[in-house]
Amino acid sequence: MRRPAGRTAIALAAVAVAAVSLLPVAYLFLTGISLGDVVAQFAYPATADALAQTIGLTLLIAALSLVLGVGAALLVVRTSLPAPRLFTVLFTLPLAVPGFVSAYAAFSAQLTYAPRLGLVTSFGGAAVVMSLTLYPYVFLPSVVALRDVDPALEEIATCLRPGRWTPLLRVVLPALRPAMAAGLLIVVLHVLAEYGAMVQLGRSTLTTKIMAEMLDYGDYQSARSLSLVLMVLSAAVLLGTRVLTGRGRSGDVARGASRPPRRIRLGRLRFPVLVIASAVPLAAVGPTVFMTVRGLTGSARGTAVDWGQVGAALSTTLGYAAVAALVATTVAAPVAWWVTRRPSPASQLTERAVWLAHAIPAAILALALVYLATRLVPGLYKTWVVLVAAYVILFLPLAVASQRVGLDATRQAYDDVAASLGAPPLRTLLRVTLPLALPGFLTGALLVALDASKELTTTLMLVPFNADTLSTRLWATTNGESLDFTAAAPYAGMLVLLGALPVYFLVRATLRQVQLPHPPPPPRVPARIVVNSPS
Amino acid sequence: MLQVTGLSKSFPPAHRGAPPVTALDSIDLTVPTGIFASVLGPSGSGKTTLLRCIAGFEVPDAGVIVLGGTELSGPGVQFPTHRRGVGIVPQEGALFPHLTVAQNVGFGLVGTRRTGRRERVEELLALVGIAGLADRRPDQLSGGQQQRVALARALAPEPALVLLDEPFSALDAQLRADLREEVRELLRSLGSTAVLVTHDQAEAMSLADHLVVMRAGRVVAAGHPGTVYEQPADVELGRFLGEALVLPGEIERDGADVRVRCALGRLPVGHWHGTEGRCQVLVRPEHVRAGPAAGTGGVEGIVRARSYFGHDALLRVEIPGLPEPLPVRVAGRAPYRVGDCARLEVTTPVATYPPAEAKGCLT
Repeated sequence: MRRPAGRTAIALAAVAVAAVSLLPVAYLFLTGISLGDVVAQFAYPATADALAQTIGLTLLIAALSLVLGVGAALLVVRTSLPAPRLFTVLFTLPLAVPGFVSAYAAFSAQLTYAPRLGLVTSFGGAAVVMSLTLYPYVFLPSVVALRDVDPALEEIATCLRPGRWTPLLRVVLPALRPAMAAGLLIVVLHVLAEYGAMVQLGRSTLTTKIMAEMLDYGDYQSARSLSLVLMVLSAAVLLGTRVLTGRGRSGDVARGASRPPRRIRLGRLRFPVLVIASAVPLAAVGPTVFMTVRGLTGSARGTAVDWGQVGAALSTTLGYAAVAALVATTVAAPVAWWVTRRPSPASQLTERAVWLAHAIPAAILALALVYLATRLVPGLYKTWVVLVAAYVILFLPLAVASQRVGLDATRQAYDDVAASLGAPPLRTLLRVTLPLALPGFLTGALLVALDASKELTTTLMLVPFNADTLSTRLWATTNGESLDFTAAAPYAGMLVLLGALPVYFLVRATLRQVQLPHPPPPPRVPARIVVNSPS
Repeated sequence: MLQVTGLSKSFPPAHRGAPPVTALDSIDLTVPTGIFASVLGPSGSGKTTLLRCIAGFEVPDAGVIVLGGTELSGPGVQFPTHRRGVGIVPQEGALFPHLTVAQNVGFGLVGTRRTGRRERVEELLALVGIAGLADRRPDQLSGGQQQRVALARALAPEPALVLLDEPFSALDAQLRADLREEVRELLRSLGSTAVLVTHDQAEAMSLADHLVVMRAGRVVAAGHPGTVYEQPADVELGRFLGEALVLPGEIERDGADVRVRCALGRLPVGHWHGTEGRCQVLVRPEHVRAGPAAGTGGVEGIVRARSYFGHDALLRVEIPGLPEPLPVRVAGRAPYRVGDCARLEVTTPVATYPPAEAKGCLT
């Protein structure tokens, strides 16, 4: 069979990208870790404790995020909750606040107002704080998936098996499975790799142990051994969410003119539900906003804010994030195109490889890049190039995932038709493929920029000498300078403002799903048989 | 004129170890200029692959495709799609979702001046009966309107050949019937050469000047729809093209006068397979006339089922000696009820075929 050279080039580029993003994994194995080293780590009871704590926190946070995310999506799309679009924005807001910032704010708030309580730093308290920052990753895809459930399926389900909860349990939740799996994957990987927030919340997990081994004791051998354990956990998660996704995509079956979803009338429950719905985003971003405002304006502040320093950190952060987004978007494109347009075991394996790289802790990635830079190109060590490379490898999957969504909007049939109308490949690309896929590419770039600008762990290890980002400045203030958040306030404020911008774009894309579609297309089948089921 | 000779195409196997899938097995096809050809076949018969090879979306393994004297595809020749001048109307329309109706239709009109383009688009939209929808977006159109836009878009660059890939399959029955009439009249008035691919035999026959039937990657029949229907090449084809009863019979030949003796009597043969002795007889519902039981001639049977369609009705009549009831088409108001006796007479010469293999059962 003849094959156009372009496709082979794209496939090769995709494999190369995946190979580069697997460098840190290769580093783990090439620097000589034996199974004995890993087992030896468990001689310390602290290791087993950290592992148990990691698994426990992961499960609890996953469950809480699922309940919050799916519940919020149901409220916004499927109930008569007032101002659903406003609530969509509110529910997404926690994405703007980095985990370690909101953890630090919660900790400071407790320290300032109820020092004896110990609520935030308990196991359950930490899980709640983390869940409140992570549930939007489940919420956003769930909103989109909910909008796509054809009401006809629910009506049929009610006819076949009368019952109040039948449509929800038999049709809606199963249809949400892919969205839940995608969201959970991101949530769980965040929990496994989280360093800053876990330290603030007083939790000892595998990641905090790895960072402590490296930063405090300089024991790289132990750090690598523990990283292998963490990687096994991450790989298990990747496989697990794959099972959850299940087979058969509901969107593939029929694409007729579907009616807007039915909304459940809340009736008398309206007010209590409204209070609960407002409480979730308030609890998630409230402490950060409150402590930031207090830190900037209150009497607690001793010295004036050095805005010049804040501005320098801001511009540095923006620069790194922009370059990372640009590079990530470019290198993600061949992977996304290959796996979307030519699904095959090889292309799917390549995409999974990119995710695996995302699943290893940021700290190990930083170590690997330091190792490689010092040996291969010593001049690059502690320059922005290495840091941006770390961001790109870390957040590449976000770009790939968003670009896949964008490319799904395009179809081979469109390209075929364009060609039959006399459009050469370049014109097809510019007039048909790109305009359709662009939203996905932009979303991917924004997600990368957002996550790069609030990244802490690798930034701490790789940031160039004499350079500071918002997150490293903020982190510096947590070490005793001011535990009550005042010194951190300007940086926290900047980080939140910066995070709000991508959130705005994400919400805008999601809001289209929440509002009713403009002029509904004429129904194809005017008569509808309504069967009243005995209730 | 479109000429396809010896076109073959196979795809790599779905699983390792399985044999490659042969989609096209040495296909020949000729469509004279201005002719509307229908390619009819069940799913998996290779008809869509044939269309995709003509359009240039697939590269054939062997064979030659010539359109209007230009070799589009052949040994060492492979015209890219965008230089073939072949318009296509895909199954679901595949309108570009980000462009308006006017922009969709105008997509292929490059090189035309802007004002000229606008006029041409409006002319085309009027032609397909949706003038005034120029500024709508595809998602604001009904299924039928979308197909009309897709047709206008394909016709815009005045292609030498229009390919229609089951363009009506997603529409309601009534809309489908209306639209296909319109499309045929439109293409005929424009003098376009067109190839329609479909698995709907009514659609294929009602539209075609030239009917091609495909099965398992081969052309099994080609010609005028009437000929292909009345004198199918084999029993299987006859059943595929329309409701039919196949029953055993025996040829009785007296010089030029060929008759067949079977459960329905001694019948004149219109299409004879050429050998004497045992054979299969193909009878279509419309070849049988039902009369009151009291009459003479033909055979007597009992009505076992009746499907009412308004304009006509289909009876299934049990006849002694026949393992299957005989389908008979009668006028809708004909007063038959289940259980009634009816006298059946075959009015048209029938088609005969060599006897079925060994088992000899009526499948």
